[in-house]
Amino acid sequence: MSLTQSDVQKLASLSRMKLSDEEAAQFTKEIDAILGYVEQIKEVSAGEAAASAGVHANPPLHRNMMREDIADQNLNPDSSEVLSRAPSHQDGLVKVKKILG
Amino acid sequence: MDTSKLTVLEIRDMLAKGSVTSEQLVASYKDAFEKKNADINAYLEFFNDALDEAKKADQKRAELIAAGKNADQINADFPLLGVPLAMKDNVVIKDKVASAASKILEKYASPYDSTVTAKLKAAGAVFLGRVNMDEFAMGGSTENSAYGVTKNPHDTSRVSGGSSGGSAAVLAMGGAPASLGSDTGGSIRQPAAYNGVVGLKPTYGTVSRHGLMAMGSSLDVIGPLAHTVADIELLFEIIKNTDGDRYDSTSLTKKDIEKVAAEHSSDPAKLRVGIVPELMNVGGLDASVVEAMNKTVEALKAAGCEVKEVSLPHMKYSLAVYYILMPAEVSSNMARFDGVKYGSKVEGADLLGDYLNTRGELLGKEVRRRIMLGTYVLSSGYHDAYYNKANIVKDLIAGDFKKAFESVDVILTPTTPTPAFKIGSHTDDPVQMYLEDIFTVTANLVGSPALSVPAGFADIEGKKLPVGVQFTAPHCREDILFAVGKKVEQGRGF
Repeated sequence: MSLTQSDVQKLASLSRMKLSDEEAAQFTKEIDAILGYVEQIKEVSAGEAAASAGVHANPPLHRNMMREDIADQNLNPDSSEVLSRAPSHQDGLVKVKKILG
Repeated sequence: MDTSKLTVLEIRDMLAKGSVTSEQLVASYKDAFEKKNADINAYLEFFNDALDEAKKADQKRAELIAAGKNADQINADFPLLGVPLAMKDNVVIKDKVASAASKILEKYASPYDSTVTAKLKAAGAVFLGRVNMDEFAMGGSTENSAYGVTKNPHDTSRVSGGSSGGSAAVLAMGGAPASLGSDTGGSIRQPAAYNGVVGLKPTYGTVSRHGLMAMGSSLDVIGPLAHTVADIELLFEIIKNTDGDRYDSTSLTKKDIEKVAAEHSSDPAKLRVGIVPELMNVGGLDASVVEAMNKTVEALKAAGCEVKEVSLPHMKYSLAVYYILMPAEVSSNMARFDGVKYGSKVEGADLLGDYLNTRGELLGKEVRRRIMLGTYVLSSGYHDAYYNKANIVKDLIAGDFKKAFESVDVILTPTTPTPAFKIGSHTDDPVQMYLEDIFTVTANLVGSPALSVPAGFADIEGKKLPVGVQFTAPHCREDILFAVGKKVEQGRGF
C-alpha cells in the first residue's frame, strides 16, 4: 500500500475540501499509515467469513421505523426559523452563487 | 455549599426535603465553573438562563406541593425536577448554540430540541451549559476541539479523553452532577474511565439519535455520565425510548426492547462474568489496568459472581473494522456541511469555491482526515476490499459475542489500555491515538450496551489517575450492567 499525494488531492477534491500541498503531504503519510493498519482484515479468509452468515451485529427486531410522508409542524414549526440558519438567504429562499453561465 | 461530589439521587432527596433549592444548586455549579473552567475548559458555555430555569423548577415544585403532591408523586411525574445537568455540544437544545466544537457551527443555534433534550426537559431537568468535545465527536482526547483541549482535573498535564471529554471532566471538576455524552467507538466510556466517573453506552437503537449530530450512524448512541451506577440507571430510564421515535428510523420500541431482553436469561443471584484471557496480552497494557482488572475479578467473586473464561477470536480485528466503517459513514454524514444550508461559510469565487473554502478552512484536521479516508474506502475498486469486507468481519465479531453470551451474562474487559495520556503525546500519530479505543469500539460494532466503572488508580508522577473497567452485556440488558456495576462499586475499597 502506498498512497500518493495526488491521490490525496483527488480525495480532497471529491470531498469538496481545499487542501494545501503541505497538508496533503501530511495527510498522505497519515492516511497511508491508517490504511496499513486496517489492511489486517484481509487475513480473514472467505471460509471464515461464510461462518458469519445469518449473524447480525445490531439488536434483533432492528428495522426501519417509518412515518407518513406528510409535513410535520412539530419538526419545523416555522420555516423562517430554519431559513434564518442559512448563511445567505433572500425572499424566503436559500441564496447560492449562480451555477449556469 | 460543596456540590462537587453530589449525586443525582442525593440532589433529588435534598430538593424533596427542601434542604436545598435548584437555584442554590445552579449557583454553586456556576461558582465552580467560574473558579475552575478557565483552567480545565470543560464548559464551552455556561447558559445565562440556567439560574432562571432553576427558579422556574423551584416554583413548579412549590406549586405541586401546594396541590397536595408528595415527594414520591413528584419524582414519578418529574423525576429530575430541578436537577442540573450538562449537555455535550453535539446534542441540540432549542435556541442554544450547538457547535459540535467546530468552527463551521460556531454560531449555529438549533431551531428544535433533540428527543433526549425534550425527554429531559419534560422530566424537569435544568441545563447548566454545553460541554467540550472533539470536533464532531471525532477523537479520543478533546485535542480536536476547535475551542481548545479539556484538561483532566486529576492531572492538568493530561487529557480528559474523548470525544465526550467535557462531559466527563465537568463531573471530575465538580461543575455538574451528571451529563450526557455520545458514543460511536468509546466516546462516553473512555473519558469516563480517565476521569473516574461512570459512563454508559446504551444498546444501539434504545435511545433516539434525533437531534444528535450524526457521525457514524450505524454506531452512534447517546448515553449518560454520572458519579454512580444508580444515577446512570435513573438517567437511562428517562432518556430511553418508550414508543420508538418517528424522527429516528433506527429506534426500538419499548415492546421491541422487552422482547430482545427476554432472549437472554440470567440469574440475578448468580451472575456469570466472562473474562477474555487473550485480550490481556494486548501490547501496551498498563500495570495499573491489569491490577484494576484483577481486583475487580476478586470483588465480583466475593460478591457471589461466577467468573469464567470466554474467547472472542475476532475481537482483535475490531479496531480495523471500526476505522473502515466509521470513516465511510463520516464521509457521507459530513457532506451536509457545505456553507449553504446552515452554519458558517467562507466565500469563494463561485459555488464550488464556496464549498472548497468552507469545508477546507472550517473543518479541522481529524474531521478532514476521516472524510478522505471514508471517501477512499468507499471508492470504486476498493469498496469490496474495505467496506464490504469490514461488514463481514463485523458480523464475525457479533457471532463471537453471541456465542460467549450463551455461557456468560456479561463480559469484563479494561475500558482503556492506559490511564489518561499527556496532552500532545499522541497528536502526531493517529494510529497510536486510535489504539486507545481498542477495548471500546467492539460494543459499538455489535450494538451491545457497555458500562465503564471506576476500578482503581494509577500512581504516576505523584498524581492519582483513575482507571476504569468495562462491562459489555447482551442487547437490551442494561439491567445486567447496572447489577454488576453496583457490585463493583460496593466491592472496591475507595
